[in-house]
Amino acid sequence: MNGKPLASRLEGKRVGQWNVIKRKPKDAADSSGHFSSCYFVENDKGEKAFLKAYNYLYAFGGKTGSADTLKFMTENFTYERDLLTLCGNSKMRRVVMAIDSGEYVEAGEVITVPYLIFEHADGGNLTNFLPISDLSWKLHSFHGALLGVSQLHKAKVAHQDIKPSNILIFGKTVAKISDLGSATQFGHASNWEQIDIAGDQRYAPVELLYKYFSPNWETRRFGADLFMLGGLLTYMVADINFLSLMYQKIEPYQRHNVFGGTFNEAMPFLMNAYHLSLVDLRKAIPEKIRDDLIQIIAELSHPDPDKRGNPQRLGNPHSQFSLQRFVSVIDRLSKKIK
Amino acid sequence: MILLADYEKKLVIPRWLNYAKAVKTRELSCPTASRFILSEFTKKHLAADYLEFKDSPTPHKAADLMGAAFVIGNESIAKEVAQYVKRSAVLQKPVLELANHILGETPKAELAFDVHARIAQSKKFLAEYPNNALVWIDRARCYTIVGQAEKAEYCVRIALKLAPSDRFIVRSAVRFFLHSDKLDQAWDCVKHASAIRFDPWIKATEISTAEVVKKSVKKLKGLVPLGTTPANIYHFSELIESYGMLELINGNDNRAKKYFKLAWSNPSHNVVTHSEWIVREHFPAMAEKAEGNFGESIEATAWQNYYRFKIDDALSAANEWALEEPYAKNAFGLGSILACQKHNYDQGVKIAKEGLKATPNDFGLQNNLCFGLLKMNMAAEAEIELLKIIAPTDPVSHVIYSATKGLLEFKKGNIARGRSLYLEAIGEAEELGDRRLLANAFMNLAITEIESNTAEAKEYTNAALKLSEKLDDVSVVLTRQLLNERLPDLNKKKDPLPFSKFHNPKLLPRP
Repeated sequence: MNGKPLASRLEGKRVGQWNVIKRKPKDAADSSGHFSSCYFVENDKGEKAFLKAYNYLYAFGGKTGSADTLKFMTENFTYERDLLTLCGNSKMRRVVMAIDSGEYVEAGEVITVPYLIFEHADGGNLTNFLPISDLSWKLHSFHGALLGVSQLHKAKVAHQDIKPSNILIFGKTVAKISDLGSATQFGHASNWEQIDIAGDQRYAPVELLYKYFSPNWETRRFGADLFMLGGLLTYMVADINFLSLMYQKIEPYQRHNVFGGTFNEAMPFLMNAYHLSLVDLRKAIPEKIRDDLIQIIAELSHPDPDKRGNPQRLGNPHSQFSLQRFVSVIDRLSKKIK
Repeated sequence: MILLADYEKKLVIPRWLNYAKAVKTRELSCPTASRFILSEFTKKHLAADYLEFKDSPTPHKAADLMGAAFVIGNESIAKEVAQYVKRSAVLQKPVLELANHILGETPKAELAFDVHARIAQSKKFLAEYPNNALVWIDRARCYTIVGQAEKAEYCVRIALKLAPSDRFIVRSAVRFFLHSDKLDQAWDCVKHASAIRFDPWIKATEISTAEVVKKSVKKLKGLVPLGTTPANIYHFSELIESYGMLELINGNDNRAKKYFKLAWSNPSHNVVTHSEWIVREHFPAMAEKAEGNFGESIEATAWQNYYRFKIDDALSAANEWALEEPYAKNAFGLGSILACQKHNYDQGVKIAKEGLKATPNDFGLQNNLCFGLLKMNMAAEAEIELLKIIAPTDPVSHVIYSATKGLLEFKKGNIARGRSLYLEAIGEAEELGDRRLLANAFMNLAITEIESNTAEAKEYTNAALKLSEKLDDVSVVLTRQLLNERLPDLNKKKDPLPFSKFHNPKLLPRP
C-alpha cells in the first residue's frame, strides 16, 4: 500500500463508469489526506464530470484516529448524498447536482473510497469570469446563485458555505451553487449542526465568529446564508467580501480571534464598521442602481442576524429570511444596468 | 485676580475622546480567555486557494484570497497577496484600500478639525444610519465642545438607548452628565449599565460617580479577581484606583496606598492622571512608583510642570490637554493662568474664551477672561464680561470675584473703589483662614497699586511681600514673582492720591 491514502491517488484509475483524468489543481499538493479529494473525470461517451472522493483513512490519521471520526465521515458522505438526491428529486436547477455515486474498492486496500460524481461546470468557478465580465453579467450570475440558495431554503436546507469558489458557471451565463458538504436540513440535522461554524470560517457570518448562536434554527442557519450571500454580492460588484471590508474598519483587538467580550458587546463597533463599509461601497457602484443595490447588501449583511433579511414591517409580505424579494430585485437590477 | 483651577478632591473620572482616538487606546479592548480555533476545513481551503492563486494568479482570485486571509488573521498570506493586489489596474478602490491597509500604507484618516464641520458630517451620516451609537456620542461631544448642551444631551440619550451598557458610550455619557452638572443622570446611566453586566471600567466609573452624588456602591469586595495577571491589571487599574480613593476619603491611608501601588503597576491613562494628584496632594513619598508614567497623560504632565514652575512646558501641555479634551474646563483654566503668568494676556483671553464655549457659565474661566482683558487695559470689554458673571456663592470664588471687580475699578480710574473691593476680598480671605488666598489677594492688590502708580503702592508691596514670604505654594510663588518684576516701577514719580484718608487698609502682617 502506498503511503498516500487511496482517495488521494485516483488519477488514471476507473471509478465506476468514470475514468479519472486529473486531480483538481488546488488539491494536488495535498497529500495529507483531508476529508476529501477532487478530480476531473470522464465517461466512455466523453461526458465530463467532477468527482469528490471521501478519504476514510483520515479517521485513522495520527492525530485524529478514532471510531468517532470514521462515524462522522461516513455520516457526512451519506448525508450529502441524500441531500443531493433530494435536490435532484426537487428539480433544483440552480444547485449543482450529483449524477452518480458509489464506493470505489481496490485490491489490497482495506478501506473503500466513497465518491460522488457531479455535473461538470465548463466555465469553472466564478473567479474565472470576473475579470472579463460587466456588472450586468455579475448581477445575472449572482441571481443564479441566489435562485439556487432560494431553492435550497424552500426545502429547509441551509447551505452554510457560500463563497466565490462554490459558484460554478455552466456555459457562459448559468451560475449554480455547488458543494452541499456543509449543508444541513431542518428536522434532519447533519453532523455540522454540532459544530460552531460549519463552513469555511473565512466567509462565516460575523455573529458565528463572535460566538453568538441564535437558538432559532432559521435565524442561525438561513441568517448565516444571507450574510454569506451579502458577502458574495459585494465581492462580485466591488471585488471585496463584505466581511473583510468590515474588518478593515475595526481595530485588530476588536476582531473575533482576539476580542473577549460577547457578540452583544461587540455590536456597537460592528454596527459602526457595517455603516462605514456601506459608505465605502457606495463609491464602487454605478449611480443608476446604487441605492437599490446598497439596500440589498445592507439587508443581507446586517451584523445582527435578528435584523438581517427582509425588513419586518407591517404590510411586508416576505418573511425575514425569504429570498424571493432579493431574487426579483437582483433580476431587475441586472436588466437595468445593461 | 486669577483663579487656579485645581481639584479639591480628584476622582477617577473617564476622559471623553472622540471614538477614532479612543479606539486607538487600549481602553476599549477586552482580552479573551479562549483563543479562536481555526478549523481544519478552513485551513485546508485556505491552503488550496493559496496554491491555486500561486498556480494561476488573477486579480480577482487575489482579492478574494487576500480578504479571506485578512479575516482569519493570516498576515503572511494577506500581506503577500496584498502586494499583488496593489499592482492591479483592474480592481476597484475598496479592495485597493484594503491592500494598503494590510500593508500598513493607509493614509491616516483625519477628522475635520472644525467642530461645526464634524457636526454637519455626522448629521448627514446619521440621517442615513441612525442606529450608530458611536457616531451619536461623537456628535454629542461636538455639541458639548461648542456649548450646545441640550443638543448634546439629546444625542447622548439616543446613544445610550442604542448601547446602554457599552463601555465607551456609558463612560462618555457619564462624563457629559458630570460636565453638565446633571449628577443624577450620570448616576442613573452608570448604575443601569453596571446592572446589565460587569465591566471593570464601568464599575470604576460607578464608584467615582457614586462619590460625586454621595451614594454608596455595594459589593465591592472581590471585584478584582484573585491572581489577576500583571497584563490584566490594566483593565482593573481604574477600578482599583477608584477603590483606593474611597479608602483615602474614608481615612484608611495604608489601604489606599496598597491599592494605588497595585493600580500603578499597569495603569490606564486616567489612573496615571489621578496618580499625579495623589502623589502631589497626599503621598509624595510614592512619587517614585508613579512618576515614570506621567508622560503618558498630558493632564498629569501639565500639572507636574506647573507645580515644578516649568511654565512654558506646563502651558504647552495645557494647550495639548485642551485639544484632547476640549470640554475640560480645568485645561483651559490652567492654560489661561499660565499665559497670563507669562504676561501673554492676549493668549490667556483666547484660551479662556475657547474654554467658555463648552462651559459658558464657568466662573473660573469667566473671571480669567476678565482678568486678561483688564491686564490688556480693555476695561470696557472686561466690564461687559464681568456683568455676565453670576456672583459666586462659594466663598473662595467670591474672594476672587471681589478682587477682579477691584481690578476693574482701578482700570477705570476709580482707585478708591478698586482698593476698597480688593480689601473686601482680602478680608474675606482672612476670614476663611486661607493663607494662600490671602497672600495672593494681597499681592495682586500691590501689583495693581504699582501699575496705577499710587502713593500707597510701596506700603502695600512691603506688606504683601512680608505676608507671603514664608509661603511656598506654587500660586503664591508665581504671584510673588510677578510682584517682584514690578518692584522697579515703585520708584517712579507718584500721582497724588485724592482719597487716601479713606483708604487706610487693615494690614495683615501675620505670616
